[in-house]
Amino acid sequence: MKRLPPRPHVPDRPLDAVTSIKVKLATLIVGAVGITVFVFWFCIRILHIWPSAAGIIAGAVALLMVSRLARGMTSPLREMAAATQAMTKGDYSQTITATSHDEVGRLAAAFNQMAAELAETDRVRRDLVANVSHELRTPLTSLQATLENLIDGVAPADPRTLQTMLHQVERLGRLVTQLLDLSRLEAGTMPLDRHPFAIEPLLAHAVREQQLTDSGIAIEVDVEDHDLVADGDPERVHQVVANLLENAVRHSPHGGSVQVRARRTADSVTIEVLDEGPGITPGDADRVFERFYRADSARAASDGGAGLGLAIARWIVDLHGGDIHPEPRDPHGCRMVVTLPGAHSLPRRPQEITQ
Amino acid sequence: MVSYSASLAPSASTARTILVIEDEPSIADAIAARLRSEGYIVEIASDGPTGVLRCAETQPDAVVLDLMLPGIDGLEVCERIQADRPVPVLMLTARDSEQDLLVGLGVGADDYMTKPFSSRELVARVHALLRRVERSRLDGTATKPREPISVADIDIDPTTRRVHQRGEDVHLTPTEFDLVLFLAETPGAVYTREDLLEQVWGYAVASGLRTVDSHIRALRRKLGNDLIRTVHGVGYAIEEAA
Repeated sequence: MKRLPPRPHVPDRPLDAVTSIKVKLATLIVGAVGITVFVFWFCIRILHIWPSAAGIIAGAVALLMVSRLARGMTSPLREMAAATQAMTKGDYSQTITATSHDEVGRLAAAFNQMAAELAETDRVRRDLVANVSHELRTPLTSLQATLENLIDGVAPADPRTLQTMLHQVERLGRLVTQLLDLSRLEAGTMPLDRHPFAIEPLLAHAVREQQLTDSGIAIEVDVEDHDLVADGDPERVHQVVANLLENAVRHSPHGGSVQVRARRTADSVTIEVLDEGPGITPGDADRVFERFYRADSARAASDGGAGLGLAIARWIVDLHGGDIHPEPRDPHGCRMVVTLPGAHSLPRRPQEITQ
Repeated sequence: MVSYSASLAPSASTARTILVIEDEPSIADAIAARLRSEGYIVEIASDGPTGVLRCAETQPDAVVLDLMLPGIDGLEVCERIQADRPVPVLMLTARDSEQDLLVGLGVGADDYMTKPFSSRELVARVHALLRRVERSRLDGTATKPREPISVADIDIDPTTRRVHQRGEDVHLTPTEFDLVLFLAETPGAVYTREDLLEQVWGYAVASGLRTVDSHIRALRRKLGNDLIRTVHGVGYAIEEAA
């Protein structure tokens, strides 16, 4: 949230406390008529001035009083018009002086809030563009340098070199897929296909997929209840587990092991992914779910993660109405805990379970 | 099409050592293969502390340094390796905002390239860096010492490669020194950025023009805004009486 600049000097606005614009207008009209009648009567009866001159004096006094009372009633509207103009040019810094308590004041306050949110959205968009271009640079640099070497005969086109280039292209492809996923999730155009599904086969499948990458990290699956069934979109939950496994394996030390556990807790299902890596410090616990955030900014440059996996995981878990958070392990390591609402207590026959 | 102003072959007969400090193995390997094919001996370090260590061990003739490194970052690595002895540094960066650039120049990087870059151009820039070092070494050991130059409120001594402003010693990176010396040799003469790139850096590549601007900005930061004049639409000049 952007900090608002200090409010400029607000001239005396006598009717600010009135909470309705109708009452304000009525006050103005009654006041104007009353003062006109009074001044007219005063001029004629007490000062013995000609009626035409008395009329002019009464009119002038009434005008003065109205302009004094109405001060601040319309200026927020003019400010809003000016600020809207500025916004179309990308300047979100102008704020409206909203001191009155009527409809115009509430409109001005809402306008200020909208401006702050637009400014935040704009900042996030700029950051995203900067981050995406940064993520694109590394694989592109690698590809360009290697291709130039092949063309100029500096390096032979052997399988190893080609494999390196393929790896870089895959990295670019993964980045594009993840960006599209995240964009669909945020736009809400990826509705959940919710139904009960069995947890154990889903975990086993995700683990098999992860093991295809041949990382040399052992992965154990431990499901308390073999018939455990959760309610949700199995394809998306699979994506969450796959992202968590990928992270766990990536941060594991050489020869380390990763565990995946699932159990029932009250009316929900808890899935945990544990690794023996460096872990996440309490200060980073929230930030790891931000797009492109990395606990160690330089570390991930070569290990392939773009910093989008956890952002996607959190969106999916949020859509399910669940919770995801990291917990530290003793002596070191990370335990990612995902809670999905809607566990089923009835053991089902396997053919009823859709996966 | 890129044109390089001088021969691409290393000028000395003995092989030169280049240290490449880059954490992405595929980029480091590709750069190393390219430099080796040009006859250099190449050492690779994949993080900051190792880079500083290898630099002390191998005493390279030039360093290619990535700005984003695990351990300690590229700027600090640059400072540490320069603290031991002056060595030309070509900085690789994934962020091209000017501020990062100026900080980079402030710690003694002599040139920089923004990712993604061409490895062909990288080799040309390494050649140019080494030629420049060679030239200044010849200047330093020449039998006939070159006369100190005084222009405006600064004194430049080409033999000791020192600059004094109103008697105060001003620390300049090798590139900044070469640039100010070149401009000061002919006060009042206006040089285009292309001229400066070719004469001071030893290569003429369009993508290097911003390098000239950044070094001019770094010089102004150290020597004041009045010394070097921008001639709009033409280039830069040093004024006799600033």
